[in-house]
Amino acid sequence: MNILNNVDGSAKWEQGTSVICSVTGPIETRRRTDEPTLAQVELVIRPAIGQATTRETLIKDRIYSVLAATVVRNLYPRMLLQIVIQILEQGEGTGYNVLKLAACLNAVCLALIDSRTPMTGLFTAVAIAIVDDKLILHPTRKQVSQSTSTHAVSYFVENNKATGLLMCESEGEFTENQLFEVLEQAARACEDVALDMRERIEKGVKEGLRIDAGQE
Amino acid sequence: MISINDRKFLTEALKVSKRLDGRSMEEQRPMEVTFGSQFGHVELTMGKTKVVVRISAEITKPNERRPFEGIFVVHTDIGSMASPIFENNHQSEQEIMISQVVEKAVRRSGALDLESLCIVAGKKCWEIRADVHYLDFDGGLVDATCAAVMAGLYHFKKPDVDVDGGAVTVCDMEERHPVALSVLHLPVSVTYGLFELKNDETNEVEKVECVLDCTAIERQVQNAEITITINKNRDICQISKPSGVSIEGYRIVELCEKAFQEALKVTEMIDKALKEDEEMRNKGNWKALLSAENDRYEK
Amino acid sequence: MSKITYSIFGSSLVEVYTGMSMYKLLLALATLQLTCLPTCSLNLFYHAYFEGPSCPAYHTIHTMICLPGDQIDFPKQDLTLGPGFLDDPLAADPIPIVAGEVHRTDPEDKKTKNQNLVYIDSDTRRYIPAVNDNVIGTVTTRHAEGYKVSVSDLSPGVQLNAMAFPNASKKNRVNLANDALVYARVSSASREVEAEIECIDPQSGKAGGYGELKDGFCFDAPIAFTRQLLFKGHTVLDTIGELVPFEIAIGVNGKIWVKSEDVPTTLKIYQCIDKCREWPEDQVRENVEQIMSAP
Repeated sequence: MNILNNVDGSAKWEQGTSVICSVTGPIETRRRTDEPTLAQVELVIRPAIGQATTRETLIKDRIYSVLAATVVRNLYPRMLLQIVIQILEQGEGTGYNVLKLAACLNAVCLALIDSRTPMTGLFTAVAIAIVDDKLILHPTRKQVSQSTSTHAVSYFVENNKATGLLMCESEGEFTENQLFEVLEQAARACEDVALDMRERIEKGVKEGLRIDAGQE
Repeated sequence: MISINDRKFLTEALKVSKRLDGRSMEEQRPMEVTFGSQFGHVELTMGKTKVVVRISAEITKPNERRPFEGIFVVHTDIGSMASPIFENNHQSEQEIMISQVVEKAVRRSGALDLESLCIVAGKKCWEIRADVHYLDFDGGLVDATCAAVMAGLYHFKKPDVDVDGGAVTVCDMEERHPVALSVLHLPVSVTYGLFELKNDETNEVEKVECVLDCTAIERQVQNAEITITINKNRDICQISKPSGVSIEGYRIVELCEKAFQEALKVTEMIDKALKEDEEMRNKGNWKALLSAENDRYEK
Repeated sequence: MSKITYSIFGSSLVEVYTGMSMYKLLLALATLQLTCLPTCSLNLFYHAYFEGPSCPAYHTIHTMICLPGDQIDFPKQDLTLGPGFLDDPLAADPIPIVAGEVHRTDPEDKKTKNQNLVYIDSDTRRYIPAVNDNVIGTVTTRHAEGYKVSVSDLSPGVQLNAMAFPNASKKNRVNLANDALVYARVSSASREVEAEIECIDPQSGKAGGYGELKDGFCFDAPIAFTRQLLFKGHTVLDTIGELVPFEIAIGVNGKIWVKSEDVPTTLKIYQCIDKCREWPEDQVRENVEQIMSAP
């Protein structure tokens, strides 16, 4: 967290992939908006290699839907929240999106917290691959390419408890029972990720407000 | 956006040869290069400026006018992650200027041997692509980009290919040892900011001060900038000074000499980083076992 | 030119030469901040909202770190919500919406008018104007009624009315150039309209330290750090003050302006203040002396 100097919030998330996210805002916007009572969110995803493709657009769309449910947008009407996601290492073969999507969501959440953007709670995401009918949390590059289906699941976390499903993006063949099992496991895994995040955030808050030197 | 107070303060400080970060007039911020797990992934920091370069290779059809050459492109796109002053999906004048200078320094200087990228003349060749990602901005983008791209080119390895008549098969990186690019020389860009120092009473220009490696705030005060690209063989690849205050010819020669000294330092730094990375990867000395290179290609 | 030594709480702090434009010293400002508490209406049925500085420096009895969505175990009755809490009419309790340290004032404390105030102190990097904050801004445009001032890069500008200066009248207007620095107090702030700042001390109706800042050097610092400097003070300022006379203005929008007799000294002061966050308390004096005595 807080690794970049010029933006208001930034975070890096490394789990199979490496993603860095920056948040600036609320800043003044020049564009007209359709929603005069809400803040606008501008999201840009930059892949490690090449130009942004439909794959990035898909990730963008999913992140928008998660943000809509968590960010309190009515506090800064007609202002702009600028989010840039830079993928540094894709970590999975082309044609897969699951690791990237989960890492992007976690990086965005940390960066938003770092920028002190008002949010009603945390959101975390995990990637799950099903290989030979077995569920694998945080799969490796190889496991992703061997899997029959991949799932990226994001939960809304309040008080360390996963209380609402925000997003589930599945690809491949799977049964209904498998999906329920994925959601069940993902909820527990999301809580674990949230605990890990909490640790990082608390450390960041203490460092930011570090008032030991020179205090009376 | 800089206030008149800061503008005045910085020029006054330069008159007594002081800079904000305590550097001297001709002191470059130290560069630091780290490599990622994949070939051609370079992270370079210079003070607060942070640049990531990814080099990638792809097989395409060569340009019709140059059938014996491969293609090399550099993509520099500054997003608002580096600093919110840069707009997303829109190039400002400053950005275009940076990408042009980088293009001249890295591509037009012939640093990469394009003929070696040819696979089947007129039909297939390698396209080497350098994606430059700017993470943090505090001046010196041209210098940082140039060094990072060059380090990336030295570090990058493309998969080996088998040519059988017109058919080209790409060998798996794990099966056959990938090959390094043939890089001919290492151009280093050095940027000086030019400041007009005026006399307090007469308001006439007394002196034009050349300051090496300006930070973001110094850039806002500078009256012009000059970029010199030079390699360790004293070949000047470019001298670029778009608009701004004029400077005498003999001072440019002086600057070139100073830039050469900086180029030596940067070259040394990149060489050292590459060597360290090579040693890291070469644990167990598997490289000697796998090597299929001829002796004359010894580096 | 005579020299005045300001002494607050018995210890000499910073010396200012008369003849120069004088600005209120940091501690004087801090005490001012503590004494003029904003008025706040208390509603028994709904949580009242707090209108005042972006982060008040009150004596608090309860601190802990919270994250958005966390449950806060406070008595919910008669609570005044400060910055960092959202009172969602659909939710049962007010929830924190930023990560930071939760503070709660002591209901027995007379200074805070027995309010049961909770707020979150967090280290933001973008300044959002709040009433009674002291800020340093840069004039961006001039128009007929006054000036548009930028308090942080790319944020919406704030208005500085031409009449918001002491003794200003239609004929006697203060003339500020573009890109000039002003030290001012936020007089109104709301999410729907542009914030306004003024260069008048509401207590006395006089300049009270506000106004244009001439010469010197203004630099950025973390917002939490400027608040600390302004409200609690820091040994670095005392130490520099003992060595050289200097003027300082601190804006809680993350800007610090310093000025001394010559440019190299100002530069050294800047370096001290900029680096002191990394120094442990007992080394501050030593480091300051080292920097200030450097050639």
